[in-house]
Amino acid sequence: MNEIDLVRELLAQPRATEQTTAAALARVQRDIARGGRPRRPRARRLRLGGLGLAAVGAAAAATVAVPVVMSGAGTPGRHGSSPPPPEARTVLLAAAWQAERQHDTMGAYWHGTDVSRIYYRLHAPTGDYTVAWERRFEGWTPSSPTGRSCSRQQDLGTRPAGAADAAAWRRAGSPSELAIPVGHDGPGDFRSMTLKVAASPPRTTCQKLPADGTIFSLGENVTMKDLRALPADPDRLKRLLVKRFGKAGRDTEPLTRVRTGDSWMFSVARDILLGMPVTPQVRAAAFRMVADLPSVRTIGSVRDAEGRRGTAVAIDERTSGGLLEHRLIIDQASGRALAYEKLVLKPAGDNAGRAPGSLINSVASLTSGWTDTAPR
Amino acid sequence: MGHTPAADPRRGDTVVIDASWHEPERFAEIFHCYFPGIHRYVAGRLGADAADDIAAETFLTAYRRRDRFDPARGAMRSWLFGIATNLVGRHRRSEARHLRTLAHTPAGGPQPGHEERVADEVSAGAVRGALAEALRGLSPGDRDVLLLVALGDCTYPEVAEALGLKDGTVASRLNRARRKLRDALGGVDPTLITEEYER
Repeated sequence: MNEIDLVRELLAQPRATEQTTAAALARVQRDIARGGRPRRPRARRLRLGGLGLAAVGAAAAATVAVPVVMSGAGTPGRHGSSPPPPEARTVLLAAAWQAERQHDTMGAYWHGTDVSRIYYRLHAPTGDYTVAWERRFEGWTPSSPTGRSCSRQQDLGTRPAGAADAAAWRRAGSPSELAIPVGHDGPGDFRSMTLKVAASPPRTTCQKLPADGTIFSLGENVTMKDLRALPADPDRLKRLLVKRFGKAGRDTEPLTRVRTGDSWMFSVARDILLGMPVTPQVRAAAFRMVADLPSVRTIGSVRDAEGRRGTAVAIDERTSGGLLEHRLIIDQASGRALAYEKLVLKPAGDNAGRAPGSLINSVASLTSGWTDTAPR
Repeated sequence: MGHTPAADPRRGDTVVIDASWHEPERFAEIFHCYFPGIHRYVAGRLGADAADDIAAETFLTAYRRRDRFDPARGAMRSWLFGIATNLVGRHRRSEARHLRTLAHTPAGGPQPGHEERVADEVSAGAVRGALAEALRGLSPGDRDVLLLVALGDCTYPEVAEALGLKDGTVASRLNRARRKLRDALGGVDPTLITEEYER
């Protein structure tokens, strides 16, 4: 008898009976008839550590009606102890499954291209309108700690966001330069910046990596080697990130300053998924980390700012600017994160002028992968 | 004695079954064909209660993703085991708890009055404990490979397809896992307690 036989006997369980099989089939067929959404009536018995699936029924029921388009109402009531809707989990676990199967042959450079948009609400006597400032970023990050990194940036221009905005912009005289309020030092003291409607030419710069070879910030500055060595187990990855971000003064990137909680974890996972040269296994782990967040919910099929169709999951965050929604848009077929979008569901504070359900900013990843060539 | 793809009966089934994904009423056929095996695998890893849910979820996930099942990339069976493994991977804490419980549960009640048997039970208990602890200590990737073989009765190519690995990686993971188990069993000679496992 060898170890495999011993394992087989140690772990042997009674076979599924005909009854069990028939009951499971009936359940799956019911779920398929309901649109393929998993139902988890018995999930409480799984007790997944602190992130249990208790009381899924109510949350799942609430999920069914969530519309595809931005909904001001949303379902912002679930926080903390509530479990994830099964569908968001399914989306994320499927993405993880697919991500794990991506090819990953390192080249001389990690190459990524994304388009970022920031939306501003502008005031005009002839009617307010929303514009989007579009910028394209392209980066080449060397595998070698002594290599050169290059980046190409282009301002694609600032234009009315939609058809109604375009009409309002024309009524305002089709200005080619726009004064954007970017904050205030005190009451009534607004600073502004000027953005052009027209695009600017791209600018490419290259430079040696810093002496320590660091390339990205992930709680602290990390090298390519650090990134490639991240653990592929979602629990271990999460513990490591919590530890790294726990150091004071390191948190330069994520959207929230609170280093615990779902929106922080969501933001870190988003950063990893949207642009970092981690292994496919770590990308899968990042999806799984998000799947484990109790408050992650499903949005369904959406188009990103580039017009690409994907499946969105989201998390809510209460801020001084109102109730925000952070979305991750996923291409389930490839297990790639397509885009991140931030919307305001209930505007307040700095976002008071925005419409409920409107975009604040977005980042769409156009390409990411390894290449052997970079700009000279 | 290696099977060519055409000679493998499971491959033959795959073609038929792949066609039936697109006919919902024939879903039951696929289900009956593969559910017992998937259930056995998941039950071995997480316990029988969790298996009912996870095995069902495996098929629901497969159904939802049926358009992406590519027979050219592997057999239906491997695909389903891959999904099941992925779902099990979401429950590592449950699996660890399950293994901890096994480590501390005797295989069967002691047999009072029969001194030799009692001695054997003690040794069997030690093996169970060491084995369960060793399984818990394996890396998730190694454990996936080992248990797809031990519980899923998967061949190396099936494991490779299920996990998206190269055949050589499957072999090296399996060798590493087996070596660790042997090391953990240490001085205990498993062949001595074979009878205690035949229930």
